[in-house]
Amino acid sequence: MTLDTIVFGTVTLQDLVLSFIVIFASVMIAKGISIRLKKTLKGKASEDRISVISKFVYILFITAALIVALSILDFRISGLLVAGGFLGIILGFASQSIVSNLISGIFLTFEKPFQVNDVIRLGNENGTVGMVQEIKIISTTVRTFEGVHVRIPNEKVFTGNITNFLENVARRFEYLVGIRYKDDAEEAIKVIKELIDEKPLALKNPAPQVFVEELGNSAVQLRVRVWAPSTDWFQLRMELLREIKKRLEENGIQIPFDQREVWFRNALQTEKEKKGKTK
Amino acid sequence: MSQLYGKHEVPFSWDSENLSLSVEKDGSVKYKRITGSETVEKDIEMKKNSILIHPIEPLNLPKELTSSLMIELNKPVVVDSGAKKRLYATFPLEIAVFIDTQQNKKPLDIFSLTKQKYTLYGDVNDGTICKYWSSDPQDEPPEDLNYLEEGILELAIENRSKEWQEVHKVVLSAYDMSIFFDDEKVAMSAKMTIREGETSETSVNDKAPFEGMKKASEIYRRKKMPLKGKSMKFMMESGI
Repeated sequence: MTLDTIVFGTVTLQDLVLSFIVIFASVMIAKGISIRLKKTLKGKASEDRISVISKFVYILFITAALIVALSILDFRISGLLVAGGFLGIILGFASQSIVSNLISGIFLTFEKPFQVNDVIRLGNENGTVGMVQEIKIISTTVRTFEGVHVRIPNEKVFTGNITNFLENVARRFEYLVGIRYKDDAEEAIKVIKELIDEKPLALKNPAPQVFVEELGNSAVQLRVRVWAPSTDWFQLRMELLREIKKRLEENGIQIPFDQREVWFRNALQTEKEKKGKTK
Repeated sequence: MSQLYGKHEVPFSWDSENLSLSVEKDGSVKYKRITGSETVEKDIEMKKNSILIHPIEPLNLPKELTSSLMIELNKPVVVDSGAKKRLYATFPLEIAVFIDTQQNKKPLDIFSLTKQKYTLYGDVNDGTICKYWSSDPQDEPPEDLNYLEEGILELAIENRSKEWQEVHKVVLSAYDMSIFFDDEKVAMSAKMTIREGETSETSVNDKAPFEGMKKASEIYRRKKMPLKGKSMKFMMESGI
C-alpha cells in the first residue's frame, strides 16, 4: 500500500494523511496560541474574559483547519456552503437566541461594562441589582443582595441599561435634615461637619458639603452631601444619619414635626364653655 | 520605663495615657489591649515565650481599603527647576503585635492611636483612594513626637521639570514601604522625583533615615505583592 493508493472516490492515502496532519497541527497550534493568549492577558483582564477570548480564538482556528482539511479531501466547499446555507437557515431560526447571546457575550468581553465582583443594576430602576459572579459566553450570573443566584442571558445584559456601582472609586450620597426655625443653622452645620470629619470613610476630598437647602414650611432644610469609597458607601450611609440625629439632639438642636398654625375668623366655643353656659 | 517596640518576654505590660497592653501567663497566655473605648482580649497558645511589637504600614485600619498613603503638607514647598530639597514631615502609625515565631507573618493584633481618615487622590473616575494624613513640612526632623502615634518622614524632592513646582502633597505606596524604629522614634525615608506636567514618582527607600534604627516587620508587602509587572512605586499623575 503506497501513498497513492485510493482510499475512497478520488481521495488518496496521502490526502487522508495530509488532512490528518493539518487538523492535528492546527489543534496543537490553536492550543499553543490559546495558552499564550492566557499568559499574555493574565493580570490585564479578568479570568472570565481571558477564557472567552481564548476559546473564541481556538474555535476560529479549528474551523479554518477543518475547511482546509475538507478541501484536501476533495470535499466541495461550495456544495458544503450551499448545504451549510440551508442548514444555517434552519439552525439560524432554531438557535437565534443562542447566537444572539453568544455575540452579545463577545461584545461584553470587549466592551467590559463590568467585571466579576462589581455591583451592578441591569435594566431600569426596578431591574436586577447584585454582585457579578461570572461572565460566561452565553450568560452572566449575578448574586442579588437577598442571596439569590440570577442567570441572565447576555443579549438582555448587552441590550439593556447597565449601571455599575463600582466603576468609579468613590460615590456620593446625601440627606435632607430639617431643623427648627429657632435653632441656629450655623451651629447645626458645624456640628454635622464635625461628625463627618470624625468618620474615617467619609472622604476628606472631595470635601463634604452641608448647607441650607430650603426654608420649608415646618423646618429649615439642611442638605448633607458626603463622598465615600464605592465599596463602603452604604455602611457609612446607614450609620451617619442616625448619628447626625443623635449629635444634633445632644447639642439642643431638634428635628421638628410638621406643624401648621390655624387662625379662625371668629372665636371658637369649646365644649367646656358650652356646658358651662347650659348650666 | 521599657520601650514598646521590639521583642518582649511574657509576661509583659505597658501602660501609657491612651494605651494599656498586657500579656500574662495564667495557664494559657492572656493578651489584653485597651485603647480608648476599645478592648481586645485573646487567649493564646504559643511555643516561644515572647512577643514582638512593631510599627507597621499605616494602611490596615479601620480596614484594608487601599495601599496608598497621602500626606498633605499644611503649607506648600516650592522647588526650583533642577533643584533638590530635603524636608521632614510626619506620618501616622499603626502598631502590630506578633507572636514570636519563625514565620512571624500574621499579626495577633493591630491598633492605632491616631485619627483614621481616607481621601481621594485624582478624579472620581480613575483616582485612588488613599489613607489621609496632614503634616507641617519642616527643615529639621520634628522633635518631641509621640512615637506611638507619629513617625518621621524624610522626603527628598528632586525637580526634574523645566519649571519651579509647588508640592502640596505626597502619595506613597505600601508595597515598598520600609519603616524603621529605635528607642525614641519611628521613621521612614522616601524620595519624590518631579517630572514635566506636574507629575511625580514617589518611592520609599529601604534604608533607615537615621543611624542605629531597626527595620520593622512589613506585613503589607508580605500579604499583598503587586501584580507581576506592576511598579511598586507610586505615580502621582493628578497633581502634586
